[in-house]
Amino acid sequence: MLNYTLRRLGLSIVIVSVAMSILFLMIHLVPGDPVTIALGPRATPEMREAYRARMGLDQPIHIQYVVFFANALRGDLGQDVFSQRAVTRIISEQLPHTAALVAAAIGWSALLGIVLGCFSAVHRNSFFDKFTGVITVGAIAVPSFVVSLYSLLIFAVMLKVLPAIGAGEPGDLVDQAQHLILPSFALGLGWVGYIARLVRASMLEVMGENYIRSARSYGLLERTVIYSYALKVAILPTVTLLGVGIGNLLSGALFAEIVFARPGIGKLIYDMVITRNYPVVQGAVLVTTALFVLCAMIADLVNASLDPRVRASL
Amino acid sequence: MSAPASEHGPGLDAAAPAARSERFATLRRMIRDPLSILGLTLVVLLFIGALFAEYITPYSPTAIDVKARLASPSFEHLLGTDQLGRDTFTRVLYGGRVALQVAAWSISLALSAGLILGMLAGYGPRWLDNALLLLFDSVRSFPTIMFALAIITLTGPSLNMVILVIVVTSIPVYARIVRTQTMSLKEQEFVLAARALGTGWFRILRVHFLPNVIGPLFILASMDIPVVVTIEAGLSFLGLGVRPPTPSWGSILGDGYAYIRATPWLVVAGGVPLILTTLGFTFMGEALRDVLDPRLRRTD
Amino acid sequence: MDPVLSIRDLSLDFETPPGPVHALRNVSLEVPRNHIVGIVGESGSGKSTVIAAAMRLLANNAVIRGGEVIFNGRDVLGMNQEELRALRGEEISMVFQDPMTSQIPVLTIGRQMTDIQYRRRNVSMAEKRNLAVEMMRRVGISDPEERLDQHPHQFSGGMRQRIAIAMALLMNPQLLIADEPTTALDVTMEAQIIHLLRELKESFEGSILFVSHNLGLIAELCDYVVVMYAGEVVEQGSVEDLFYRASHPYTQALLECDPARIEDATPALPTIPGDVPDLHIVPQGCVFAPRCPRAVARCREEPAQIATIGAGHRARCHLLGHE
Repeated sequence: MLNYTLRRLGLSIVIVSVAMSILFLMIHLVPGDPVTIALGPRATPEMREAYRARMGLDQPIHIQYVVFFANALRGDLGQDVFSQRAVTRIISEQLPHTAALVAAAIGWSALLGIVLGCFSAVHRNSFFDKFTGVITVGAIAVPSFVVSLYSLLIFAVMLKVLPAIGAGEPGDLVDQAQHLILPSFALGLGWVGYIARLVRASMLEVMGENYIRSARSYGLLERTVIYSYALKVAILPTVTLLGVGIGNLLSGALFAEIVFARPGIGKLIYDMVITRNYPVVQGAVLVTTALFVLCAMIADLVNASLDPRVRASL
Repeated sequence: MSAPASEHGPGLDAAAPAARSERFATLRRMIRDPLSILGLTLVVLLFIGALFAEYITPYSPTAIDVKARLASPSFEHLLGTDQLGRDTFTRVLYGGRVALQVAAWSISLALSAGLILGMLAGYGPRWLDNALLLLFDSVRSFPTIMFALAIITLTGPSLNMVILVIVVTSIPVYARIVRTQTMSLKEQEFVLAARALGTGWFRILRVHFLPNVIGPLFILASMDIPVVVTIEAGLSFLGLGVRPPTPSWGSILGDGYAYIRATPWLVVAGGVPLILTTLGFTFMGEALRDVLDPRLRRTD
Repeated sequence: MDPVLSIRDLSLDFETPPGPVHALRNVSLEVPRNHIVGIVGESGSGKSTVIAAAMRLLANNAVIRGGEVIFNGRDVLGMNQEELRALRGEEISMVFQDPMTSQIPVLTIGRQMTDIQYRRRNVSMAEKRNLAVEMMRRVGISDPEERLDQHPHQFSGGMRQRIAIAMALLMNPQLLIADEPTTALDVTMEAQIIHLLRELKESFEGSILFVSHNLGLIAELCDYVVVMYAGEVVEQGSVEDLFYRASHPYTQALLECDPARIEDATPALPTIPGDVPDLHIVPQGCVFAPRCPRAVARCREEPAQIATIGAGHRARCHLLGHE
């Protein structure tokens, strides 16, 4: 198990490093001068020189590369072009908002998805199963930003029952929770579909296994056979999917954050793209990517430790 | 493919008639399935709307009529007008054209690049395989939308950038499939025999590998269309995709978001075709997959 | 005394796309109290279907066409899910063929064994665990206290079959059904399991219905034997009747084919020529007629009747004459 953990960790580190290199090289690969890109065409030559020196752009490229990595390892992802605040600090201010949104979205969608998937499998080929099947495909197919816009239109603009803008008053938990409802609904809807489909398929497979037949032959309650036994085995692949899901939602949250004008990493990146503040964009993209890789890794490790068969083989 | 049939390797021709009749049965089942019919209908409607936009609507997608701005649906303007008085129905039709263009370009480019890189990884030396795999995994670890934003910060928004981003982020998916297929074919006897006879590697790839990997790739590509259309719409919604005044479903949604308190119609008109397109391609793709390759099931 | 299980005239079809498969036809057999009954037959003879019907653990496409399954005077085929659950585990229990897939992989053996005792409402968890330990010891698992906390994959195949037997006997059922319990095991393990079953029969005061294609095991373990062929019972009687006075040509052929009985060195294993018939269409005459070396014209024209050869010894063959 330790061996596997270390290997998995090593792979994650390598992947993040390559992703970092791509982000670093991108600024040099695109046509045009990075300084012009950052400061715009109207900047004076003095401003350009000052910026070039501050960002280390006057150094040879391989030096810049090493400095970039060394700084990143120390938690220094550069500075905001305009305010000159540390990028790490800006990101850490926004991250909790995104984390709350993602947690709410994955929380409700996992709960509903598991229930729907399990129920569909138990009542296979019933009307409920077929209906859920169509609904889940629909939920997956509809883009989450369209769901955001429609729920904004219906619940906030037309019905005026839920707040539309921001993350709520700081310190007022009820208000903050109300502000989470619409964005987390929009963000999680597609994942209800993914999770329900996976749980259904996995549940059907497990229900056909010999140990389920054995459990029934001992006269166990159907409740025990399905919910304590079959579901426990069938849920394992969902753990991996949830890890990928959390990683995906971190970036998917961008649209919900913009539509509902919520603070968060996505909104931050968008605002910085508009003002062409590359260091902040680069830092935020890097952090999201690293979190994505981290989530996938944690999911794999959790999955391995939950399944005694896998745990033994590692 | 001009190569004689015998060069496709043993087994393929012998299995053909049985596979064909089975495929025919699946095809019949598919026609009876209401969802695949629905999917097919939606896709056909999308193509008709996009290809014959000029003949369906009397308006130009960019003609401004300030007097009629933000109008509700009427016989004159079927879906109303936007904040500049442009006919929304017309913009929806032309927006479909943009969506299909982006899908066609980006998927064919990604497919070609994925094919070449995947075959290189599968057929080439071990170190190249490992290096390419690592690169694929790293690119895959960028969330598509984040990667798009990083590039667009540097270059500024344009349709070409949207296509580039989609191509770069979807190459690894295609390449991985090609690599797996190539690996499994590499050790088969007819390939070994061809190598023993001194056939060049390029010819081996073209004659033996290509016909075997095209099928799964084609299915994957058709199921990727909704994803690509969504990315284009998403970026255009953010104002980072197509440039105004080019119509796109995403930019209609963007305008609709800005004027959401004045009229609901723009948001409705931009979202519905997007939903119908993704639904249409999804239903059609699932049916197509069952017909072409029942073994290939995507779990994610 | 009443038999613990009695199956009378049981007929069963499996619905399949080309049409129904008549898998069981007028099957009758009895399991007397405190005895071991063996069912022997080739694959496809319907022996596993009979026991699945006895526990109502049938596949979804199975349709019972007639007959009854009486357990302790109650009709199993008429029971609802609630009554079936009360029956399973507590009165009839089963051990399956493949020990490697018989337990829930993600739960400890102890948890599964205490779960099975859920009907003992007045017994504490600690006591249930003690009962599980006791049962593990009886089936020959050493260090049962520690091993209860292990997961199924930490045991070998033979061990897992012992555990499966322990689980089946945990609620003291009156009938244990064992469906080819040793087929997946090697010969040493097989002998140990057979030895264990015989020992348990002495100590736990119940009956065993043992299903196998292995005549040697049947002879070693059973008191009575039922021979099945193509969905019918062709011969049944005491183990002595069957092995010393086999009457049906199929039973005789089976005995000749048993490798353990071959005395002279021979390059080829003897086999019964021909195949088990396709049960979509049941032959007009005797089911064994197409492969029977002694078949006469009548065998192909009319179904064979049951002939009584001795007390409790019956066979379904034209050549044996009627009562």
